[in-house]
Amino acid sequence: MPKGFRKQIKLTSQHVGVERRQELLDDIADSNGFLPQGVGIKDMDVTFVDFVKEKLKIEIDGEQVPVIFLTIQRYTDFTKIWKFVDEYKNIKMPFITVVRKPDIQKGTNQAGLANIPGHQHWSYYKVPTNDGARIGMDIYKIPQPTAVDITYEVRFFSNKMSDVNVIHNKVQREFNAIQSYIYPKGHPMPVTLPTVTDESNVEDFENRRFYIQAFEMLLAGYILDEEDFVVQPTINRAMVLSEIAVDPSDNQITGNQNTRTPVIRNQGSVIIRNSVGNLIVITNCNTSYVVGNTQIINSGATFSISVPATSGYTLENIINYDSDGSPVLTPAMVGFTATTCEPVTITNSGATYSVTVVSGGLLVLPNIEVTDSDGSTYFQPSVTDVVCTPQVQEMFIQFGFLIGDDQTGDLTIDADNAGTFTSTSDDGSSGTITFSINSGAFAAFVNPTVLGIGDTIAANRTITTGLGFAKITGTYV
Amino acid sequence: MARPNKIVPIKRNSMFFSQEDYELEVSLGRESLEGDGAFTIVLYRIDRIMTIADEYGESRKGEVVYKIPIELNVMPILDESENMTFNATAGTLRDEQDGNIMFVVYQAHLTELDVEITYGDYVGYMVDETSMRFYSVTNPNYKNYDNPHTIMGYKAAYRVIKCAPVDENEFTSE
Repeated sequence: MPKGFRKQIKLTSQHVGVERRQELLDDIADSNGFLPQGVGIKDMDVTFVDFVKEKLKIEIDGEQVPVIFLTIQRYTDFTKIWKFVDEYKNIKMPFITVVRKPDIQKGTNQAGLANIPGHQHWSYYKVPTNDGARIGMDIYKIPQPTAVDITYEVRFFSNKMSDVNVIHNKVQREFNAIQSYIYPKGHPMPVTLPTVTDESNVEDFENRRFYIQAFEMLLAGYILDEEDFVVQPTINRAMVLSEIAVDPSDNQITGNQNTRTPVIRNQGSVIIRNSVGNLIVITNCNTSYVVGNTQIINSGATFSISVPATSGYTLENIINYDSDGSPVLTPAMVGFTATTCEPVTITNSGATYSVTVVSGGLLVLPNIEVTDSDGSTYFQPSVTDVVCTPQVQEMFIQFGFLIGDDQTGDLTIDADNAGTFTSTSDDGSSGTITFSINSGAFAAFVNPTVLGIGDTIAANRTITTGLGFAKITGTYV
Repeated sequence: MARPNKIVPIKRNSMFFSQEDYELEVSLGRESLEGDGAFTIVLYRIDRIMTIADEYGESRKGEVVYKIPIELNVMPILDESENMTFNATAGTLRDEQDGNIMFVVYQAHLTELDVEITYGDYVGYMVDETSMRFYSVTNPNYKNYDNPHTIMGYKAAYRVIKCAPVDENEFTSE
């Protein structure tokens, strides 16, 4: 091939310098208006995936290697790979995956410089306007774009070293000038290749093995939100016609009726503001305006009064009450401090406890110690009723049997032996012991047996050969 | 392994075990495994001369040439498939990976067929009437003279072959 032979001829001339810069601006401009196209994170994601599909496109064994953009929703996995799966729904190698790291970092698109504070807008385009009466200019303003760094993890999966060579050849050639560019909505944004790592699982030779080449690609992009665009009307040119009446008879103003002195009448308006500059009304010149009343209201809205504007109003005194209940009058809007109370002496009814408490002080009465009926002690708060627990005492009634006697006489219960009886015992040689309550039939002892004052009880035995006794034991309160 | 130029009779356990006992045990085991079990795998031995390989020694689908497939009577042990993801860090792109397969084959069976299983050979296992899964031999277990692989410590009787699953773009027996 002869020297200087051109293999590729550019049929269209390439712009350079100012023309190229204008071309870039035209690329990002919205074809339907004067503003640029907004660009968001989703636009960058979509464009980046297209970049991988087009710029890193490789074919192996006559088939294009699929590029799959993955997120965490499980169903999307299969939605995106179903064309490339085997009969067991597993994706077939080789393939490329793109995963965007969800964390968006502060951007370096402006070489790491921060934006000007205040979310200011900057003039982007001037558009002439003409509404029929005015000729003016609208300024289209846009904010400073927000720089963001987005990291994409592009992984290549294959089980052939020659396939690995193909993808590395493609990637390294694409990034041999440090960076490549993508154009989301026409905005040029650089993509760099910070790291390339090998994640192949080839260590475990007793399992399935394949190569994973991970390319971490950093997109230095920016966000430009169309919602932040502003159209601001600015310069207007209007023709203002003013009528000037000439009144030669008006000598009160000019003082010279013989000359044709011009008099300007009823021209313009009068702006009425209050003392702090608030606009009250705009009225015509030479017309009167009555300023309305002023409403005076206290903070709780319990007092209100209307007074003529600019006239004074004296607030009445207010009544305060001192600590001893006496009223004290003070001017409105003036603070009041009550006098301090005398110390208070607190004592119990037996005068065994006495404490002096200063005004505003807090006294917590001490607990009292209570001794219960069984001798135990406990503490409880002062000035509360004390209820003691009744004491339970043990008691018994013993019946004696003489030789030959099988039955005792009736014992009438009185205050000394009334109670609740829960067990019985005997001498052991009197056979079966039974009891008769209130002259009833003799029966075995019932646990419990309650005997009140006036009740009668008698005992009976079946063996009468010797002296004996029967005993019932219980408690009383 | 040093090989003496003479045959040395094995006299281990001679008080209660002999070559006849060993052969009886092997025949009983084979009867159970090959007759009763009747599990089979197909062994595809790679023809390392005819197979087409690139500069890395790797072959693509259709480039692997294998010798006449041989059906072996074995006792297969298939591991459970594993639910994994290709993107481990992001947890995406699910892949239900075949579990490994391990099979027991009697050395006597291989000797009868005059077959040797080599590291890297492929085996196929019919999972149903129409589907065969393919595996690559990761451990042909040449050294099978450890205690568990012998009968009463007398002599090795069988081999336990370990295999890992392979992708379809590597080998499909086509």
